[in-house]
Amino acid sequence: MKPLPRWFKIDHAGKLFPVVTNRLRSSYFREAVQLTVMVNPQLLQQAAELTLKRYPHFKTKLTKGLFWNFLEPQDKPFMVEKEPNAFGSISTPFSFRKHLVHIYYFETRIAVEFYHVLTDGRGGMEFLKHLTFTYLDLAGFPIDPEGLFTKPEDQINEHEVEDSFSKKVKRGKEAWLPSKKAHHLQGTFYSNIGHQLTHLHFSVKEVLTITRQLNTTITGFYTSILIFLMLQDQQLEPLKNRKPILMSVPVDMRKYYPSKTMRNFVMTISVGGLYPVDTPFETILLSVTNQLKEGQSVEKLAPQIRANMKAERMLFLRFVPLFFKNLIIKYVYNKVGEPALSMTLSNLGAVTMPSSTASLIHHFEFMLSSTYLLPINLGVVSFQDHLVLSFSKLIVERTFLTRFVDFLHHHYPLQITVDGNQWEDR
Amino acid sequence: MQLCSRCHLHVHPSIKACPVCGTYVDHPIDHGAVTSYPKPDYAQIKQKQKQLRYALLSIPFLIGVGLTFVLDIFFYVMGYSTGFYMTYTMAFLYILVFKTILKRQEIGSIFINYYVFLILFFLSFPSLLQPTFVIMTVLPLLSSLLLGLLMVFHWIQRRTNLLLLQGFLLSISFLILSMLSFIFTVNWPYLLLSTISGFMVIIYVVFFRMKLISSLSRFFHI
Repeated sequence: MKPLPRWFKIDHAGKLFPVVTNRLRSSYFREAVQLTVMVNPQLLQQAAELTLKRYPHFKTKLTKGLFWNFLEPQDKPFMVEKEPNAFGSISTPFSFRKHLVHIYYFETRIAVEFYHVLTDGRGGMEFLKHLTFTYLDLAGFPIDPEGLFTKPEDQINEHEVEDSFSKKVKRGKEAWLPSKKAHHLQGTFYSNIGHQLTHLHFSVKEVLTITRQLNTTITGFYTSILIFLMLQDQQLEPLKNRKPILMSVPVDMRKYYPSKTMRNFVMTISVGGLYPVDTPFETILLSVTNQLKEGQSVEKLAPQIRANMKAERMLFLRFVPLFFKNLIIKYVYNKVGEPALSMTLSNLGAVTMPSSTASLIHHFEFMLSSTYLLPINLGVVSFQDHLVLSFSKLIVERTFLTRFVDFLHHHYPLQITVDGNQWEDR
Repeated sequence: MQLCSRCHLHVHPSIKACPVCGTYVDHPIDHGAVTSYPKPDYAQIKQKQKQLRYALLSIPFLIGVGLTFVLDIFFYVMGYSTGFYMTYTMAFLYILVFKTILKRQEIGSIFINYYVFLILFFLSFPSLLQPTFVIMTVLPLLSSLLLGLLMVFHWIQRRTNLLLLQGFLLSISFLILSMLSFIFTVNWPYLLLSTISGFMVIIYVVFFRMKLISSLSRFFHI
């Protein structure tokens, strides 16, 4: 067996984040589990140490090389912390002292904040599941892994830390997506740069009943509502000024390529377009559902990945010093990357845990950090019959969320519970 | 759990206002209920903003660097050998304040990184153009001492790969520059410096070989 490296190259998708991170684009995401029992910080500390030992590439620090950034082991001891109310306000990933993962506890809640350079939502969720299971095991609950988890003392294997973009996606046809400037939500940013997190709790059964009637998916349903609401924003805009509404929907590439990687292996598709302002919701729903169906195929996604990786694979460009690469990446991302999106909706799908833990876990949450151009983003995750939509909002205005809730209330018989971090402008 | 009269959402019992619309809900707050978040701590964010303001203090140092550099140039042209010490001091203070407060890098790394860089500058440039006692004697002796201390530091802190790499590159640079300085000026302290640098290069290659290769492969990976 090949020995594991003592340092890690950053995967293809992760290379972007250290370059574009700033105060209003923190590139962190947070995943949380709400238990039915109070969390013991001492046991969580033990569980965190065991889990980080199992997944050593999470206990790393970001370091600059001559040609690329890389991850090397972080020697500073890892400490779990009480969960802060603020989210997404950390924007100094290169600090020598810092870990790129933060594990938090608060009452019955365990939350993990990841810097996106390490992993994507799916990899992060695997880490959180492992941490939760280890914690419950240490706490003495009679639980059984049911084949879903390996022992904490097991060694990580090379497949779990591989860059699946370069290992799995072979060379072939490339396809660049046309990039147009998209419609963006406007608003007043919080002066204290924090996110207002709002969690809407639904019953999975109720939502699935509706989506089946509408012949769509949960992602398609919520994406369509968000596009429909943004379209209403455009009603007062002159026709020539109107821009397409494009939702960024991340797609887990592990569905198409057999990969066990815990690193980034995700590709986003843009859903939506330029619709007439009087387009009915049903038309948008049909269009979005079709776009999601067509876009989520390996034949469509692989050429886009290859196109994105083309520059990285060119030998000449690899030898360009990092300083110049950073300038180019930042310019391209600020010109055609983020401006081409209106909002991100990331659906992690259903989280599976061993049935013996079912009574100990209430629900999971998934929060994305928002940015200057995408001031509201949405993370979706479900566990058993509990679907949680987590809006992370960087702007003071509440209008968009109230309209979202009003739309659901007026059109569909759904029981919705709400909670959040109650962040306000101070 | 009470309904928000505006949004018709069930509001969590620990919350007094609907998180979506901000309307107060009329249920009595259940202080015993499990809350999902602690109360917002705005002071924590303000503290971070304060740190940024402190970082702005580095700007006077930056201006100071420019001014002292102009002064040093002036003295140099007038025939007074300044050794560019004023510029060096200001630049070093600027780096310490800016990098430690704003960038939050480790002070040891910054110290060695920039201190040696500036020493190199003194060693290579003014010494050949304007030989004085300080530059010709004190500086190479101090540099030799610094290299020695760096080696001791590496023996103690064996895990700091970045410093190891810097030490190696520095020794090679010192070796080349001090050899050149000796050839052009026939100044014996430079021979001492080149001997120590050469000795250090050998030590790095012999004792830290594996770590050095690992550091180089990380730093130069493509």
